[in-house]
Amino acid sequence: MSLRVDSISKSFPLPSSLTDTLLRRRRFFHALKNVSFEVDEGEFFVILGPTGCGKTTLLNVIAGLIKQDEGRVFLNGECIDHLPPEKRNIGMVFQDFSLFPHMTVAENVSYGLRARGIKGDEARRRVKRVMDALNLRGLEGRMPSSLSGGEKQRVSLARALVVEPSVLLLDEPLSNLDAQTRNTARSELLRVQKELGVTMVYVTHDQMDARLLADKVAVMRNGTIEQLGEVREVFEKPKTSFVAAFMNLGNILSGHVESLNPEGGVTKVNVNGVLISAPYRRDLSIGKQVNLLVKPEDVILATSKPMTSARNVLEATIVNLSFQGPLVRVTASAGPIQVDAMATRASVEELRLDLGQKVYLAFKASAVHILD
Amino acid sequence: MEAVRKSKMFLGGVSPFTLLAFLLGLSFLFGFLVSPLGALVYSTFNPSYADPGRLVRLYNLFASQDIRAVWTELQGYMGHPVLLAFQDEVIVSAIRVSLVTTAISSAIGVCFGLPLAYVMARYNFPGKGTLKTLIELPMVLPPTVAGISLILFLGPNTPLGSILARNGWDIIFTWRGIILAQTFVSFPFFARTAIASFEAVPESMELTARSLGASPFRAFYSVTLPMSARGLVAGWAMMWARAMGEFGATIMVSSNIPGQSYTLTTAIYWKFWAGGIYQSIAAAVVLLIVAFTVLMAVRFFVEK
Repeated sequence: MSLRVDSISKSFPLPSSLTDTLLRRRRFFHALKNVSFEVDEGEFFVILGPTGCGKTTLLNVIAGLIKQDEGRVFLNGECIDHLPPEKRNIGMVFQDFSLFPHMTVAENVSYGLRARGIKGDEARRRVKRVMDALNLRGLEGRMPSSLSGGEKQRVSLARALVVEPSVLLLDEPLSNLDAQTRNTARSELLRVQKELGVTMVYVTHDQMDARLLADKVAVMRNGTIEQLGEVREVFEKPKTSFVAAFMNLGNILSGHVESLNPEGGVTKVNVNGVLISAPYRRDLSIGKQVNLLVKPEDVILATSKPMTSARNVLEATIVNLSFQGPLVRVTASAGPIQVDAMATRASVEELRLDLGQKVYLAFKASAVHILD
Repeated sequence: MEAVRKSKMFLGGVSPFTLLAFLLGLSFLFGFLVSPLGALVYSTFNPSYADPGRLVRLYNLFASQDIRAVWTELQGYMGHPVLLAFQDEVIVSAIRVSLVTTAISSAIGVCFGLPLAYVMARYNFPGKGTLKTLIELPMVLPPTVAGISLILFLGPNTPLGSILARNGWDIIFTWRGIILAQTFVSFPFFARTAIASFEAVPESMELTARSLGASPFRAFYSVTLPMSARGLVAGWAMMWARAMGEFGATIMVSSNIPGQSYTLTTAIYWKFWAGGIYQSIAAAVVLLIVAFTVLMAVRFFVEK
């Protein structure tokens, strides 16, 4: 079912100091500022942002656990603001899994059914269905304390799914798992989501989650949505330097516009004295401060000056080589600026790249993204 | 953390420092606690308290070397005082009064303490700190102050007390006064533990239950209550034990009629003044047995 969040705002009172009390002043922390988005039926929507950006508050507002100051929440076109959490049919999975420690796995999973008065064969059939879907067969009689992290995560997911919620909200459900379990759990989650066609809103600070799971992504910062869009679009064309930096997309260079050439479609940006060519944009003016994103995978490394159509060719010295599996992240400094480039292990060996070596970094003007 | 420490004790050997600390604690326990209680238990079976003349008689029997006579005499001593206590109308009545009043006062404590503790644990509101201090106040307040306050508030000559008395509800100097005194002094023992137990249940547990379709009440009784049950039972036991041992306020608000409004603690006191220490031993031993049994039972439940 589709979910629409319409200009939600929420602020919390801050603890007041003595002077605040004397001046009759109340201070607020604005957790959410005018947040709007829409999630379509069956969509996997990821809200990505650092700690304290308001993403958990947003989930709590949708679930009805916190009342918003302004704005409305719609489920299938109907406003649900007046409904208490138990009447919204919105599932929630918490970071700590929140399995009821005094109940067995089966009792945990069927809790929502009991709360809704669903018993007997119907309950057994539905419990079996989700337990099968999440590979939990054989764990029915176990207590939560005897389960592994991955099993706990699957049980908490099964418990939320058994009541067939209109929307399932997940608050960093994988962050308590070790790296290996997290990978398995991630693909499991995606499989179950597609299999059962559940609409999911997933909150995380891990850009890998967004990259691998999301249909759509909203990047949040300080209570507002910084960028919203299809996952590919957000990763390929981040709008702001915050989005680019938070998702660890690559080199961010700050400079000011030196010259604009609408005919050639080129903007020249002065980055600490080094001129970088970027695509032309109409809204820029000379002297304006801009941030540029150059992704490491778009930078070509060469030991001699390359014959290339790329407009940006920088002479640089290698200052660091970081081996990441089959790839090597080569950090080279070209005068005042530092640029990371990606190379395969094979090419690093072929070019005999080493620290202190002189290299040429080449990238096209079209590979430079101008960020807001 | 706990587990690490425990295993360290057994796996890593005992350091001289640990040993010293342990011996220090043990000697304190024996010197100040076990020895006096041991004396009490010993005295129960010691004939010299029961009948000082017996000791002389026993000595004479030993002197006469009549082994059979000594044996008969000794048999006569065993367990007498405690068994006799159960034939003593005053003690039996005191046991009954104590059990009934503590049952009622601890039930009152649970009825009011449970909701109060839940609100205190889950919500923030102005004046919460003051309220918490108020709840804990009776723990540090001398019980005699509680006694005076109750008399001044509900005594027969006070506005409220006289109205209640006219309608047949005498509070002070009746068994109702005993219950009030016990509730007053023992309530914080339950409330404090209950607040801590509720705080220990993560709020996300309740929120999960709500998101699964449970009403706030259902979430409370099916998730929060069972998860905090151990703490609540421990708190109840502490409250009950405190009520059982209540003396200072009770003796002020009770009518102190033997065989009618003695509690076990006041019985010890009056018997001590009326008939010497021997007379109060039986009641003291009964209290000791009851307290020890309840504590052990609660420990068994809580640590299960």
